[in-house]
Amino acid sequence: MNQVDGGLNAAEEQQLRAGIRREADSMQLSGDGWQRIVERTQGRKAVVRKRFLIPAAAALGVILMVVAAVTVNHRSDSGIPTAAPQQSATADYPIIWPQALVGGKTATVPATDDPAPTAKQFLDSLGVPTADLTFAVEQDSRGESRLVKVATRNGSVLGTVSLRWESGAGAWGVQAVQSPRTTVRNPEPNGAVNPPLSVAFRTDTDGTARVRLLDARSSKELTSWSEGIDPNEDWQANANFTRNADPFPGYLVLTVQDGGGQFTSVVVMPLTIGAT
Amino acid sequence: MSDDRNELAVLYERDYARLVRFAALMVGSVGDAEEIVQDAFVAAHRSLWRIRDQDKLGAYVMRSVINGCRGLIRRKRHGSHLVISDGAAGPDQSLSSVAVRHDMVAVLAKLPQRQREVMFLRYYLDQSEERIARAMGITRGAVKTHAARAAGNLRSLLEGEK
Repeated sequence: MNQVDGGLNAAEEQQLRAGIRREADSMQLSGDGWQRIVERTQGRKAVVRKRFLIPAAAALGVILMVVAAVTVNHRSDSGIPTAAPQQSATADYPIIWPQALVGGKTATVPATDDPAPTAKQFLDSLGVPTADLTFAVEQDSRGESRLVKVATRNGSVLGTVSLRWESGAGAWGVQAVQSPRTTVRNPEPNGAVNPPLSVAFRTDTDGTARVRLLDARSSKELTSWSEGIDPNEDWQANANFTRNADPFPGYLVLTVQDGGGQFTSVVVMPLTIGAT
Repeated sequence: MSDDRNELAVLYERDYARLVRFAALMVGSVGDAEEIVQDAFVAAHRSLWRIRDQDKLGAYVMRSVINGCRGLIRRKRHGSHLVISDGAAGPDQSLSSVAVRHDMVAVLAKLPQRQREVMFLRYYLDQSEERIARAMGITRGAVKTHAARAAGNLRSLLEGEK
């Protein structure tokens, strides 16, 4: 049998295509698909307008307060650095300093007081498109650490970047990125990881999760894993990578993209790779 | 029909039936497949305000369908869910001779999920490598790898049935 690049030859492809189409064409569809879609979209609007709009407005404040309280407690239990209330949790983190980072040690122009460009550049380096994102400096702690809240144009928060001023380098360095939508239960932030890498997480959106482990010294990717995920379920990702004899700084990157490929969550945490 | 549904209606006319059939090939049930595709259209309706481009809207729906299939397969948590025709194997089980029969889909159902996705996207929906990569959330290189492995596995499966 002739093969083309380890695949199928043209005749085989044609036969395969015909076999699949024959099976597919024999399927009987219900025929009311559009009607059901319209009912669901109309129903959703009608319900919102007629029944819930006013009560929801009144209840929204209460719900937000409860959710905020629960979220703060939950994340505090998870051991993950959170936003403003627990900014000191990241104070001892090493700075993640990819070489390509603007404002990093190789920069020739002194960094400004605004850490947002550094946060933006960091996300760019992770492959997250930043053109349609907004960057807002959330908190300034003693002039050394700052948080930059990264949100989409519709206000949905993608993540919060923790940065620290490095006086020796005269620039901002990134310490971590956390997301209000994703919780990583393992590994521990700033902990040690060895092959095989095991990551446990939960997020509130469906889509595709991508986990990457990078060498902080070179931004070289050591391993990566990608999977379609469902919301509010616990997920475990396992991936192998080559063990290095000497421990070195690295970071874990967990991104979630929705069905349309839009990023909904970004988590970055520093780790020590290869430590026992 | 409101304006915001017009774009969705165009997409529905063009893609709904073949997306349902694609999903049915993946999950093995036309009923489940219709629900998955309808979910994808409803989700797309919610996102119409930010996805105005018809091509991007189509890509969004396709990706949602793939994620819906993956979610259903994961929830069911068993290997193959395909309801397939039960044709008896003939004496010649070469790829060409089997492909013309319905049970080619039964053989494809034995492939790992990602490999099946690539095969159905390529040979049923006629998607390019780039579009398959975007729909599956993987690189073009990974698409090639899955396709090559699927072809190899397909041969092995057919050899095994001889």
